[in-house]
Amino acid sequence: MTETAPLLDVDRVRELFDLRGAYMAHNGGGFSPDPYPLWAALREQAPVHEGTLHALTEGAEDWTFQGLPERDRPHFTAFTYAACNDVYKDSELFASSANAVDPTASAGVESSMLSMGGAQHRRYRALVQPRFTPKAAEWWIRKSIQETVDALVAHIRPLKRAELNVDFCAAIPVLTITGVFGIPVEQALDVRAAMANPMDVITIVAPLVAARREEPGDDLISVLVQAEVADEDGVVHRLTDPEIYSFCILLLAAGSGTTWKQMGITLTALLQRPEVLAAVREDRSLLRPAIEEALRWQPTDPMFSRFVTRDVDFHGVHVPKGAVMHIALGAANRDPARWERPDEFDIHRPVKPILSFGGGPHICLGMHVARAEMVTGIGALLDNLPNLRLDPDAEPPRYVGFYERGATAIPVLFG
Amino acid sequence: MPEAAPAEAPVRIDRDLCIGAGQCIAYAPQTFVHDDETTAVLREPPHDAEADVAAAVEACPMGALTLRSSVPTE
Ligand code: HEM
Ligand code: SF4
Repeated sequence: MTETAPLLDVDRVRELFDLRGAYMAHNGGGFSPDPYPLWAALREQAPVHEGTLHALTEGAEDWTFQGLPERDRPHFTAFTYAACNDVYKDSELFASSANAVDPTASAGVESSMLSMGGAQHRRYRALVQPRFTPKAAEWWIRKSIQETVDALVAHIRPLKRAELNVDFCAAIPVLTITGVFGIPVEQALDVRAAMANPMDVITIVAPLVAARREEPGDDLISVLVQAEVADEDGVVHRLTDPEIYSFCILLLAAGSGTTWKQMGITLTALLQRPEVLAAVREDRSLLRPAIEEALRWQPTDPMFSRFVTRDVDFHGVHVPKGAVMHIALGAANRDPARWERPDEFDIHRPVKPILSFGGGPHICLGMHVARAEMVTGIGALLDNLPNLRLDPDAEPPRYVGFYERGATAIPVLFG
Repeated sequence: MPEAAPAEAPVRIDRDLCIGAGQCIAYAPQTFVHDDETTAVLREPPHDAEADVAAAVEACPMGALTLRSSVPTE
């Protein structure tokens, strides 16, 4: 175990991870009503509506996320599971970006595989997919997840009380990814802060890339510097520095905020249902189903978007080429055509695939890592914090946020 | 190259479509595994509950899996 306590500067963690703070304002961090009843009504009216998700949702503002703002394009939003699934499954009709991607252009998410399509996307994704399989999740656990979780729990355990959302959930994914990159713990928060400005990420990552080019090790940057990719003409080349930086920026952006918030959502759902928490504590095989059910019921990112590549009649609506199709996967995950009592959090449901990690070729690369982080993290809390419960004298956690949802503070007592 | 699955295999895998995302393994770990090209192959013998195999087939993001009608259960 690392000598930690505290592993990270707690005040800085709080500032960087406050969902309602300025950091998240652009995607609706301050939104606090429950959007699900409104989305259910919309889903009932029609599978696909004209308009963005925030414009269709009362009380929401002009926030940005994937496929937004794009003010010159018409916007549509799919609400049923069938419609959302159809968008994901046809990645030619519904493309991940409006323009072709030049991976050798300046580094950033726009140059990363998130924005690519077809064979190009497949070539780039294949370079890293082997390190993101269910089996490879064990490598992630050994390399950084277990150590991070153990250190955080050791820090919390003697205190008898804690705030789990920021002091536990938020820290795990950043330290997991930076650990697998080979970025030292002291720099982990700099990385989080730098994410608002990709150039700052490059400043941190560039020396590591140079060092691994000299001497590769057992880490993700070494995988990237050794990777070879064929271009359109079949010419094989090693990844350039900008290509590697784009990968790093994408992985940091996609992997740290999401898992943090999803773990907080899951813990909140369990802590607010002490009998369910007790059942999971008693029978640890219920932890995975609990995590999956929280993903279905309250996904941290309830919407992703695609660009429509030709005119199409889609689930009863004419959608023109050039439009943006938003996938309200949060609404799809509660489609009564697919789930009984869809608004209930019920960990005993029959197993059924959900859309919380997306679908089609861009399905979340990190989903098995995210699941491993949540199983390891929540499992360690259950193992080490007896009688874990919400602090009855503190403000109870609530779900907030619009395009990035999560829990407010999760104050707990134990022991 | 697509490997012809034995006739009694519960699922057919289209190796050209598979991107190695591993959803099948998450839902039915006793039935699917990745080979060293990170492409899904069937375990010998596959043994998950029928519902889990069906979930795996549906969860494949690429539609690379096809359920055969006769799925052996445990
Ligand atoms: C619970 C946590 C997570 C959730 C809910 C989540 C959700 C998603 C979703 C919905 C997508 C699809 C985006 C789209 O349709 O355009 C996606 C893509 C992606 N995710 Fe995650 N994610 C999580 C954790 C992670 C982690 C831990 C990593 C990395 C370590 C990661 C890396 C990625 C990458 C690289 C992509 C882009 C894949 C591609 O374009 O082929 N995610 N994620
Ligand atoms: S879920 Fe589909 S794409 Fe992913 S490994 Fe299995 S067969 Fe391949």
